[in-house]
Amino acid sequence: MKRSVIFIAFSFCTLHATASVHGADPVTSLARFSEFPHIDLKRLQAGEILSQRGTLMNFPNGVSAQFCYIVSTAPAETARRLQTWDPTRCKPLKVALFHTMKSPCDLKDFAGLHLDPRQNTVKKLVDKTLATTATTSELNLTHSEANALATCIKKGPAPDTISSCWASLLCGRATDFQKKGFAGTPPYEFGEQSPSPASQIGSMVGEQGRIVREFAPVLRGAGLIKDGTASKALAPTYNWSLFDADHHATLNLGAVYELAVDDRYQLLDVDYYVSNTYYAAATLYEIWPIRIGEKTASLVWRGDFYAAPMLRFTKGIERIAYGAVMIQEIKKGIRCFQDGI
Amino acid sequence: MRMKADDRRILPKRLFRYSLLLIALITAGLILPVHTATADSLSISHELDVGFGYSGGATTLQKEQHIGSVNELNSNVKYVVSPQVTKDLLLRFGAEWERLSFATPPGAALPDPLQRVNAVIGFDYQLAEQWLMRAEVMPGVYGDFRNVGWDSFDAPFDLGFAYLQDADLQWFFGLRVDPRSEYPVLPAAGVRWQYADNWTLNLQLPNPRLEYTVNDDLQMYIGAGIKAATYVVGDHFGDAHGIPRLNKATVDYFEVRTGPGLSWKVTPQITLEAEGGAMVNRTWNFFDRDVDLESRPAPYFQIACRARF
Repeated sequence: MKRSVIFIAFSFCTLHATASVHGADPVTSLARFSEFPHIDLKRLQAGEILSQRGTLMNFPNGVSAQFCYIVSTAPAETARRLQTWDPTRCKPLKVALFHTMKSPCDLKDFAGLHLDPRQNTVKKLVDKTLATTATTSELNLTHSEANALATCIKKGPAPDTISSCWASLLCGRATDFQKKGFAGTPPYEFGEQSPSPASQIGSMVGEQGRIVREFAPVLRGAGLIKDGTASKALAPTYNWSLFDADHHATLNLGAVYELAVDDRYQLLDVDYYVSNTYYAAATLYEIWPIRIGEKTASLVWRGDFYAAPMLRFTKGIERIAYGAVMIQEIKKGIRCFQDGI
Repeated sequence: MRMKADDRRILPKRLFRYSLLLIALITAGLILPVHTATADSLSISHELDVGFGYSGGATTLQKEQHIGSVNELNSNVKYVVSPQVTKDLLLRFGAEWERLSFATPPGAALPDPLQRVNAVIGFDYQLAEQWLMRAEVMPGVYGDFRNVGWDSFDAPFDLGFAYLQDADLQWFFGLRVDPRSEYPVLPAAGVRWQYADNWTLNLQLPNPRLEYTVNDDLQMYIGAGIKAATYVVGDHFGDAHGIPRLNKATVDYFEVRTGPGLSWKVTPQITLEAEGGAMVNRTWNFFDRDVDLESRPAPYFQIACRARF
């Protein structure tokens, strides 16, 4: 224990970097809830992104990873940028479209949605859309959504028609979420499990006791924890995007919750609807102020939780490889975000 | 030299017998995961591989002399259980059986069958963020099973490393150590590169392939397959074939095939594969007795079932 204190003190002196005196010392906080019991701020300042694959979950569809890095902007600015950052500018992330939405949303929010089947990945999504009937679908839909989609695409297989069918479906999902929060995320009713995105996120995050305790304020505010503790409901920012996941075009609806806690910020970024490829995802951020020279920067911890149907069948070394690859892909996004500042 | 008439009669029986065995094994492979999946045991994974193949008559030469046409039946079963003992370490325990059976022309110094029954003992370990390794020793009996003794015991060792660059590109490096072989250390390198949405160059030994993904469940490929192992023949193998120096001899068996195939994911846990094409080259090399046999190209067909649960 003493040795670690000396190590931390040494790192701080070397860097001339001092954690804020307000609130908890970030290094101590990180050691308490994360997979980073010791961090070398010098390495982070040099641009290194620390990462750890999450431990095996009891939840069979889930995989997780944690990251720690420094962003050169102050925490408030970092939190703001995380909510509005446009991932389409980061080519390695393969995000084709990203739009923020107002609340309440309407179809105009999805005016930019255009599914071009000339692209291989989009063609896969279009093919699955065209194959959807009221009783069968390979997409993440309720029976009533499948019925509505099947009826809608009867107007014709033109890309504009399919895009507008998806816009209606996404707008309906987004409206439900904006009205009811996570209670407004109906389950995907095709397949064996009928998973609900909210339950998938709740199960994954819920297994991480230390993380839940650390992020209880923002999780309560988002409505993911209901433990009777009074908390103000947080108003998230909303977005939708079209991106390639595992070489499949995928549509998603997202929400980002932000909460200032003392001098630090907590963010919860959730994919509360995903059209295919995976079920749901959640990313938690904690952002502390950290002095680097004369400037206040942000020390960021990030935890990613990802639920996908194929993970249930991905075991052994393949699952370890999956986690390792997931880390590399997320790091691409973090580097883009850092470089964009 | 013509194939013995007996062998012609025996072949359909063999095919029938092995087909029954394969059907039984595939059925077991299909049923087992369903029952195991209900337990949802994440910390223990299982691998079951079953394969069966046939190569048509191939002109075969012994010391550059034609000895006739040789066809081949091969069967293999491999089961490995892999418990995860720490976040980064998985152990591997299992068993494997492979049998190569040849319709042997009279007088040819062809061991029939070549067979191995071995254990699989090893581990998988995440060495670093992007590096995985596998070490596996396969101790067992490698021979023609006429006289099984210590001479038939072998324990080849595989060591492999994977560098996971990202979701689309992974590099592989490895080596096989088999002290009995003419080449006791064989290094290898490979790559898996998904260079387009539907195309993957999967150059991993022993089955390098160019894969085309038709849909989520179906894949087409063109590639190669390599079978290689070292065996020891029986005490009287040489006497029986008129070459006494081949008694208890060590033979390196090597076979290369190439052709197109289909891979169908029947369920997320079970994949069936069927491929056909040309067995390009096959050698039996009694390297320390200066006797070798080689087959010319011949058609082949192979089916396999892989289960991961």
